[in-house]
Amino acid sequence: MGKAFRTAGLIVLGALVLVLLLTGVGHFTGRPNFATRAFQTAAAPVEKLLGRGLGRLEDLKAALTELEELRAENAALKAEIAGMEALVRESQGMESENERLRSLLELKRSHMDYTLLDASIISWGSSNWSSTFDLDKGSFSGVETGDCVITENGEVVGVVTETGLYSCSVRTLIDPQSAMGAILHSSGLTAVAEGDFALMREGKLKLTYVFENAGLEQGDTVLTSGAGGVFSAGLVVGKISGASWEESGYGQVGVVIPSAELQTLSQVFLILDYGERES
Amino acid sequence: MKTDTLKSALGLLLTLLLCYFLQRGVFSRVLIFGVSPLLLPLAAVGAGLLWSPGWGGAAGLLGGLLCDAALGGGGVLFTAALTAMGFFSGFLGEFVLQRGFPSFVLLGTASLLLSALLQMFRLLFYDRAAPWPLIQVGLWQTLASMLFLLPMYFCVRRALRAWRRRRERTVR
Repeated sequence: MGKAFRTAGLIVLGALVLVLLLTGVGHFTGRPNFATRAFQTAAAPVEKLLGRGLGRLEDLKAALTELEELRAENAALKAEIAGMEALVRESQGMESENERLRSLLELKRSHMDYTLLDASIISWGSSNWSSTFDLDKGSFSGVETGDCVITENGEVVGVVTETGLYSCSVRTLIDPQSAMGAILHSSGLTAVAEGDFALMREGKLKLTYVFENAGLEQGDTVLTSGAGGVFSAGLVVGKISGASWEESGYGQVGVVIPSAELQTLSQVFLILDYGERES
Repeated sequence: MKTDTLKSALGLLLTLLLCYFLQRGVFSRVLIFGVSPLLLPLAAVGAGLLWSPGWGGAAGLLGGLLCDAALGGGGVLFTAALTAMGFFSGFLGEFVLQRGFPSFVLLGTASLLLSALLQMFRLLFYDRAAPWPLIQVGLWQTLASMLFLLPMYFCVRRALRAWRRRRERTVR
């Protein structure tokens, strides 16, 4: 055992002396010595691997830094987009309000004698058998039963059926109990536009008492004729979407799609007074 | 004794108001099977069946007023109809039917069908509307409203809890 240790010690010592000698020779001749080269050769793959690993770590670090920057940039951009979207929404709201007011101005210009009152819809009636809604203006604002309700474009919405002090109920033009004198814009034919239960479920109304043989044309505009006294003449009721002959065969029945979009309606105008022209 | 009655009356009032706001605010926009369900007739019938003819009539009167207000149009149909239904349910609960869920289902369904018939009456006979669309809407309205039989039964039962306890004590 001791002999083996002694031999190994001698070998190590010999090797060390050899290395020292080679190193010394290399140092004095100015060329890399054998030991250094041997070590460099042996260490090269490891160094290469290490270099690659470090390089990847540096890449990763750079990527992480970039990711952080991107995240911050993304958050800033998102905030900017949200701000811009809010601006767009605001401007869209203002645009639609502007449009509504322009239409109202136009309506007021064309009907200088009308006394109009703007009102908002509070709630819709929940009955399956009628089509009604409540407005936020009542007798305190001068609203009376029988007042006509229109949109800013002069499209018929309905008629006030009941008034409270600060609210009123409106029956829409598609309600089965609604009826108004109508006239066809293209032909001048007179008829009656009235609500129908089955059509009310589809958001439509019917045109009856069309006794002339001239056919009802799809897309033809239906206006109020002023007959009956509730609605002024020339207000837009809707457009004809279909027609059929009455069972009696004496006249035609048309289906009318109201121009006023009742489903999306939120603000309407009440005609409190038709002025001198109508009175 | 008076406190129990007051508590039950207050509970019933809250139930009726809840039904009104649901019917007016929610079911005027949210449709079930394409129609708005009716809740207040169920509350009136429940009050009559589970309490007494007098309180059923009172709940029917208030429920009817609220129902007419919720439906819009300014009618008084439900004010009259629900008063009668509430009273009649109370009479049946007192002398003919057992005060339980099966009786409530029976009376509730009958009240819904009767409500639909009353609602279509004017359209059918005065406005001469075609009967089939009316019947369809009436049936869908009844079916949609029947979905609320169970929750309404528990609501009314819960509202009348104080009075029911007193009655149980008296029976013992």
